[in-house]
Amino acid sequence: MSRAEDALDELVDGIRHRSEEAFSAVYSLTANGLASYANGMLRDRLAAEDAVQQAFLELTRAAPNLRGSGRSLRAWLYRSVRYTCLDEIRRRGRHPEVVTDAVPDIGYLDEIEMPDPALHAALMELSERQRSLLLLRHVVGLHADAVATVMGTNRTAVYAATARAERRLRHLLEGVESESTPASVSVEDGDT
Amino acid sequence: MSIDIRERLGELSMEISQETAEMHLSAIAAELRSPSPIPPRRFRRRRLPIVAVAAAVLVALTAAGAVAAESAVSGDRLYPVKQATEWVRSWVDPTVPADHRIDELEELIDRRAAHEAIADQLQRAEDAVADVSVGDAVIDAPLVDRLHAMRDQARDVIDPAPRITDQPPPNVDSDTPVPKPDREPGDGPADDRGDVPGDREGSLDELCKKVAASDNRAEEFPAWVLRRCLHLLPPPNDSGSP
Repeated sequence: MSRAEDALDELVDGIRHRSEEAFSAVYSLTANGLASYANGMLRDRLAAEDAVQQAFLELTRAAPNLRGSGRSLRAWLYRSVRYTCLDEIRRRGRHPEVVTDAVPDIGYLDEIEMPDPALHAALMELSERQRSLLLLRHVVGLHADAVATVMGTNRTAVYAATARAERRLRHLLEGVESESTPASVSVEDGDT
Repeated sequence: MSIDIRERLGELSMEISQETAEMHLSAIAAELRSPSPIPPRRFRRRRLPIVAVAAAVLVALTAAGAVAAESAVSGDRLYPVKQATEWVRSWVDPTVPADHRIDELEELIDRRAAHEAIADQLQRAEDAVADVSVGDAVIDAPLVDRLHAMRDQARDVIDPAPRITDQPPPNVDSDTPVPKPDREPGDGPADDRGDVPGDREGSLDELCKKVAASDNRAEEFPAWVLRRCLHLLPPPNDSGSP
């Protein structure tokens, strides 16, 4: 069990009792991981931050009914962020953004620049499930057991599906970096 | 070309700015200060056994009340309970009310109830049996047999004297109001009303007084007379005879 999980274990009771201190501590332990996951899913830093806030606001309402250990609490938060991201992805599918020349004044445009646009573009070619697996394993750094809890599957399936997702992402990246057109890369592997 | 996927993915991690974190935490704190819209589940879990126990107690009380009401007669506190269960049971067996009325008649006779009450109950029993009759055909013949048997008992209680005086023994005279019967003791059932000794003008009470005064009542009087007069007789330990 990791140190973060030990710390979360001690905070679960405070969360159940809706303690502000416990919420603040859990936020500082998990917010960056949740934001990284959401950012990888949405390729949108602001939407990622909103998803994190949404998850904690939902936790304030669900806290009295929360059961289990720190691992359960963390899985709950990641699931909440995942569902928010899925809703956002669906919403974008229904209402695609109109590209204009106008740039919104959001204050810190430099910060929301993506560090690796090619990787982000390749990630967007993966299925949501494959993207989630790779982000949770390699960006957030969760163990396979924890990822399995978030994704509602078992550890063996997580290992196998992550390996397939890595293979596919590698092929996509090779295509992106050689042709600069990720959409032209053929799909090798299916979804989990 | 080999691409280190994991290393490149690791670089995607982001950190929430201090300003954003403070904004989030203040929103969370505001939400926490508002009352929780969802009641804690543990309260609902605690309520479940209470409801279960209450339901079990209710069922037990209802069952106990129904059982206790089985022997209730008209005027008893539990009689409405009996009527309610009887109404339900009559959906399955329509003879239940008639059976109950006859049971109640028997109960009233055993309790030595007032003659009027017994007469009323007899009427109710006859009505109930008539209710389960279709024309001249009766649904339950044993029920009618029971009614007839109880009707005889009830009439004996209500109006015993005429039965005793109606059939005086031929050798009775006014000087010997309670003569020794012709039959010998132990000749068999003494319920044959034809050989009953009795006072032509007397009543059961007077007959019983004579039974009580007799030193040899077991031989002088038939068993059914002794039974009727049991309430006036001394206890067996005192007299040494029934």
